[in-house]
Amino acid sequence: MEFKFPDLGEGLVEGEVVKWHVKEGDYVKEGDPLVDVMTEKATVTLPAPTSGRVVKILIAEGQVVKVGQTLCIIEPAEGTAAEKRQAAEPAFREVAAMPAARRLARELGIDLSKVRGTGPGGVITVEDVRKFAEGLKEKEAPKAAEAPKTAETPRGAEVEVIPVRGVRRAVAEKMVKAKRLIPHAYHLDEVDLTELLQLRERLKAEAERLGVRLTVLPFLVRAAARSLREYPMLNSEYDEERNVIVVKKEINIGVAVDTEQGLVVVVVKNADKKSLLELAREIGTLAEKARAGKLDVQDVRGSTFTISNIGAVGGLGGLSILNYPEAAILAVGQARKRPWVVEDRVEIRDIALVAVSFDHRVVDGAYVARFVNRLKELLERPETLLL
Amino acid sequence: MKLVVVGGGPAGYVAAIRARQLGLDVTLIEAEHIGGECTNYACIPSKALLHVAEVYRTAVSAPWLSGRPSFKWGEAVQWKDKVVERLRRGIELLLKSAGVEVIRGVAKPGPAKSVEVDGQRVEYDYLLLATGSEPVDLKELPRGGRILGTREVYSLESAPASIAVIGGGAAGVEIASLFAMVGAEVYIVEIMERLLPELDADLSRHVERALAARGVKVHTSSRVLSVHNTGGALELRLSTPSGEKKAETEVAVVAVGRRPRLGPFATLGLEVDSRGAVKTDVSMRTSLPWVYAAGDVTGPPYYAHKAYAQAKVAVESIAGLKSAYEPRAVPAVVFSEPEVISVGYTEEEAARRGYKVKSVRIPLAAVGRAVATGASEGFAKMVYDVESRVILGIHMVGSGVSELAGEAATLVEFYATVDDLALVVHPHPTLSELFVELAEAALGRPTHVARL
Repeated sequence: MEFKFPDLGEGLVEGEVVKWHVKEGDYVKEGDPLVDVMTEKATVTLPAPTSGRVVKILIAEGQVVKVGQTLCIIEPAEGTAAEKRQAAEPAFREVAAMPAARRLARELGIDLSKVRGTGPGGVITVEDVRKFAEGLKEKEAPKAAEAPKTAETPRGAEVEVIPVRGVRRAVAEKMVKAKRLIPHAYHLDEVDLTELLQLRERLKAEAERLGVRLTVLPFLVRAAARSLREYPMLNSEYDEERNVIVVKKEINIGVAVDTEQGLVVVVVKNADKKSLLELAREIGTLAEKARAGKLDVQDVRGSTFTISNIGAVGGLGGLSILNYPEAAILAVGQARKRPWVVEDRVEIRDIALVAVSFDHRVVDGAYVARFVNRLKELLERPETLLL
Repeated sequence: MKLVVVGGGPAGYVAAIRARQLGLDVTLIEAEHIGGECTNYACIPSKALLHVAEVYRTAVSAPWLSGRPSFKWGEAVQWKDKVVERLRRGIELLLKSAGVEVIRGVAKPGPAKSVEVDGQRVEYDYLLLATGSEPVDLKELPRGGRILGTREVYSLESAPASIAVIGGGAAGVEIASLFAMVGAEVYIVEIMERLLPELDADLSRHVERALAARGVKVHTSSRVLSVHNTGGALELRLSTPSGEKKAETEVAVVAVGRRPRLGPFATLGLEVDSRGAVKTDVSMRTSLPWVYAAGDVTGPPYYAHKAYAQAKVAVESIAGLKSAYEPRAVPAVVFSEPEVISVGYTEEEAARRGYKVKSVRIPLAAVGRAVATGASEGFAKMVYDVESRVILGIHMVGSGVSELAGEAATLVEFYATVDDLALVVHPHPTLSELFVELAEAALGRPTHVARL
């Protein structure tokens, strides 16, 4: 029987095979762990649907599997299995391929049923397999990491070869895509967070009493969401296929969360319509879920603008790569005490670097500057954020 | 990496040589003779004897030969033994030159990853079981005395005047052909409704007729009820479709089939099928990841050429190459007189696999060479797909057709179409012209077949 990647619900369309618990030829018992598939929300271990022998594994570790696609073929243990096979036989039509082509396909891990044969009567030749393999390679080239290239590592070299899988691979692929397709431009400014930090100090205890840890992040989210309402072009994406700019009505703010596995972006939906407290509570819950690897699909889907709070870890600031296909991302550095000129007097203020990376196809620098000015206004008069 | 191969037959010795080519450290353990059943007791001895018997039969029936030759069975067996010894020595030399360590003795599983041979322990990283098969016995015909196995029949001291062959498969039909040619009275008893029941029915019918024409008493849908040793001969009671019959013969040979033999390695607990054949995946790996199997021990068909192919796959897989045993056509060849080949699908098999099947048939007499060598009886048949015109199977019966099985396999493995084949110039006068005639027949324009 063909074991297909089941629909796990919640609009999930694909997953990545992280680990097979069996090898081809292994025997499994019904319910035994068969394969780990990492979906957008979490890694799921799929159990064997029946007892039998794993005849063929079709999706290798590190490959992506779509819902409904066959993961492996299991020959059910004795008895009815043989009968079922017999019954299925009339429908079976072999893939016509020459002997060396069959061997090459096996070596390269190519499914012959996908190869178009150019030989007499459509028979697949070695050349067909080779061309198909090249086509695959070209298609997969942008994917940052194919199988670990252990073979090319010189023997004895002091290196560790790490297969790029899971979150790391997802990050890698997304970054390459963003950098390759989007012409990035950057806008930098400094923002005085003195009052915001003071306000937070004053509210912290109150929030804690309500069970919410109040960080700087919800203020940033609220300020950004409010600013985006006035500068909607930054809440958009550039559609390369149709060459149009799609401006989003909903303001869903993605927040970059650092987890053990790597960067995960959780999404606060309709951020412009939520109070500071609601935002704080939601971000707290999402970050916790992300670190525990228990995110649901809707937790990571549908962001329209992203914030990277670099300052939470430390650092002056950074220039982020856009969260493809979004048109803008905001990176906020650590607020540091600095001599600052306020009304012609030097004062000690908490200053943070803010950087907006943007898709220059969508907007120009002046537009972004105005957006950042508005953002600063809100952050520097934080009481407005309480409204 | 250390590989231990148990068994020095076609699977074992080929595996050992390929393993050395791939840089593995190899020890081969053989309990009897290098070359196994095939070289020592079956394929090679039978072919050597069939050859001399055919030369004799040709001579006897030749109108241009004066005087009547007599057949010296003893000398024929000696010649056969020389052939066997030469080939066995050849294999031993191949193993030696490849750098395979050969240990003589019966291997059995040792602790952890090791085998033991007469108390000597050999450790391995991988184990290849090439332990072969053993004959199936019949309760009513216990081997011994006048009741022979397929091994003994080729080493008889004198040619029997009469012989009963029990089993109408490839081995039985070959034995019947051999003794019929040297002038013995031959009975052949098959439980199924035809000889060579696993092959195309047309082929079976032809072989039955050919044997009967040579005086062989063919009893299909029949079995031996009892056997009585009178001292001077065997008295067999047969159950046949036309009632009970008696046959008195000097000897009887049991050739009812073979079954996989694991021997002491049965204790490894490998998964086996209902026949006792070791189950493997396409890389020939068993249910124990470090144990592979090849040849007869993996079940039918019991062919040396299948064993060769599986052995290479097993060792390549062990060496980390992506190798799979998934042939499209494993040729079946019966060296009876006339010979039979069956390559690829029969019409029924092809239809079951969803092909739109057609077949064409050409008599051997259509090619000059067959007539010139006095071997024009028989026919060739080709099964092909009507839509793609791909050749799916080739089946022949006739003297000398065994040598055509290779080309037939090439055509099937390469998915050649009838159009391709019709365009390939085949040498005249050879039996291989049958292929062109078959292709042209499929195209509706055979050159050497009269339209009646």
